[in-house]
Amino acid sequence: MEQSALETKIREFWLLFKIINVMHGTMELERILKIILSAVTAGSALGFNRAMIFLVDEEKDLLEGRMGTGPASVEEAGRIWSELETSSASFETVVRMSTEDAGGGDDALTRTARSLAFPLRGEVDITVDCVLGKSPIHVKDPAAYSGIISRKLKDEFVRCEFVAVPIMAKGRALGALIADNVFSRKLVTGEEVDLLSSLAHQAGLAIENGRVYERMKLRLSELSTIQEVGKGILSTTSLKEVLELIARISAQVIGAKGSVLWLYEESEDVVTPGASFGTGASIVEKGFEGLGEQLARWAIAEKSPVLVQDCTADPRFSEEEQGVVSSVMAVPLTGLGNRIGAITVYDKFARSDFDSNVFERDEEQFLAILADQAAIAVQNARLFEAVRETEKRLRETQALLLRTEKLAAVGEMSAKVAHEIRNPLTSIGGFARRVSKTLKPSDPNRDYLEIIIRESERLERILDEQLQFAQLSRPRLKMEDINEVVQQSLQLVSEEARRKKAKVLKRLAVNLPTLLLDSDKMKQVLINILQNALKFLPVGGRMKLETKKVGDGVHVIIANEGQSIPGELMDQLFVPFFTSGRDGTGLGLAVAYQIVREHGGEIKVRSDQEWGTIFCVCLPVSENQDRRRNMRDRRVRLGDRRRSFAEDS
Amino acid sequence: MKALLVVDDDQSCRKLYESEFADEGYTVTGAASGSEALELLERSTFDLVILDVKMPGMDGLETLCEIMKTKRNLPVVINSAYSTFKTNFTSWSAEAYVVKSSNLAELKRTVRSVLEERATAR
Repeated sequence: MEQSALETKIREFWLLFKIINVMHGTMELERILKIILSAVTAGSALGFNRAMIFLVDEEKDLLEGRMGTGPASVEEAGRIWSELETSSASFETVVRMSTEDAGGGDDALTRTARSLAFPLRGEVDITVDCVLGKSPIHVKDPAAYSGIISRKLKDEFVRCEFVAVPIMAKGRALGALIADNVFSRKLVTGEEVDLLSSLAHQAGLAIENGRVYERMKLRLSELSTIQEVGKGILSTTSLKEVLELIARISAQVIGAKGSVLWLYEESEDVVTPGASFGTGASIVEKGFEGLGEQLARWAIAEKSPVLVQDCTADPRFSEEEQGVVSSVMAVPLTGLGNRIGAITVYDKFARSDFDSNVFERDEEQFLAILADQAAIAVQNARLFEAVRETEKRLRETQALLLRTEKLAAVGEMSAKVAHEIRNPLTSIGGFARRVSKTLKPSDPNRDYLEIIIRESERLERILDEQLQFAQLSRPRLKMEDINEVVQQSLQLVSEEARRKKAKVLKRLAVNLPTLLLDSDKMKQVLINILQNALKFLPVGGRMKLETKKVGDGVHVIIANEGQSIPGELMDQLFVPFFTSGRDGTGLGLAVAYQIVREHGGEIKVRSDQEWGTIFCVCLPVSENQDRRRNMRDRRVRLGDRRRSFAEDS
Repeated sequence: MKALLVVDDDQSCRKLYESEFADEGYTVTGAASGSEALELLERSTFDLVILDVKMPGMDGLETLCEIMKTKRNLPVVINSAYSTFKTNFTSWSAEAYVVKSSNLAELKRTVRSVLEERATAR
């Protein structure tokens, strides 16, 4: 080999090595394309005048122009060359300049490139032939070329001799690179074609690496997403929080403007929104059927994702819906073969100018992966809730058992005690009364007798409470007006209320549903609570007596001013024999609690700034009424819904 | 003057009832047990019986059964420390049921109204 030829080869290898170095230093496709074009056109490198890159879009089966570089005119070319010669910029510098230049992508030739796209089949264009043939094509004279050069390429690019080389990676053609010397009119040598081919091959590898990198990045973000969901499950204990987390992550990771997580109840065939994020909230709020429940139902029924890229062209969506959302996706949540629900996402944010705001297949796949994780999360959370619920019920049962046991013992004992005490008490109080009647009103002994009478009355009241306990039997339930029961109870403590100069605020709701209850027992409950309230009420203080409908129950609220009950004592209030220590047996509230429990209700106690103690007797509305209401609920069958979406796939 | 029979094993209670009802204008006789009451009922005539339930030996409800066998029309007012016997069907045959209290107002009221009812029914 001649000395000069050898030098050229060495120079070429050195150049290629440098280009490869620069190219593999980046993983971003745009940057890689810029480096390739710089290498092809830089004077210190291959030195072509103009170059353009085409890449294959496998999904669309197209060869699309992606980027181009080169002066627009002879004058511009001359100016650039003289500049380059005086600065004698190295290849690396040129590359750095070209890739750091933000406007570089908006090269006139890039715009030209982007206007070009050819279907991937024969007899369309030379670029496609180059890709399909996987070999370079050197066109020395376009007019005499035997193959096909498309009209578009002729109009936009072809002026003179040019070269098309395939961009290869691992035996596949990823695209093509075309270059010419339209301004310098320098003839292209065979060696230059070889060098261009080598470069295109390296470019192919770099592009392939970039794609792998992009996929890795996606996997990485999937992994971190999955990790986040996983962490979410561990750190959140409530189902609601898990659902909200999934809705948020689905929207954020896909880059959607909103999302809704739907839950499916298989036994009842009901789809309900479990959580929403962003614009998803308004979809739920406005009750959009096509965008909401129908879409979710379709994904659930088919156990496969639904992607609607353009809602405006889809008659299944109402005009109003089309005005709100342009692109939607739905994926089912399936865990261990169970249909759990679906995630719907609405409208993608375009991440850059090159990104479309339409959902693509790969995003659908990603959402499906996320949905798998989410399904597990939902199932776990549900299980957790179930375990918690069971545990709670167990604890309640234990507490109830403890109380019931105590109650039974109390009942037995109180019956005995009552008899033994009541007899002497009757005579003590009775004789005191007798003596008191014989004394003159001015006699100081009258006061002392009054004390005996009052105290024996109090003891008798305590015995009454104990007897109530002994008598706890199953309530005799009838439909009753709770307001009536409240009024009568208040009447029965009116004497004590007067003594305390209590100001009673009555707020009884009208039109309350009638409740299934034992009015005698309920009166006992209210009297006991009222007596407790009066006991702690300061003289002249205020009391509130309120009834209202809350959800599917009725609340009777009895509040009194005065010192609030310390938190640790609140739990103890309903335990038999627990007392404030002032007086009483500590049975009154225990009896009340027991009776309310038998009515399927509960008693809650709390304090606030205004009221020292607030008792709330929560009673369920009778079962019959509940059932009647459910019957009226509109139920949409899954089968009816499926048809409208089934036609699509 | 109406004659009352007070049956109670508690001596103090008996004494209280005797004096209180005497003040009200009744002739009052006390009995400390069910059997003593039945003996007295055989020997003398009473207009009404005030009957305790829990008593050693024959209790009030048994006594009530015996009374009902021989004197179906004699009104009996049960006066017990327990209200539990209210639901015992034997006590249904009693005219009234008053829970014991040092305040005898209710018992007095009941006795008066039962006797008045009987007077008008006759």
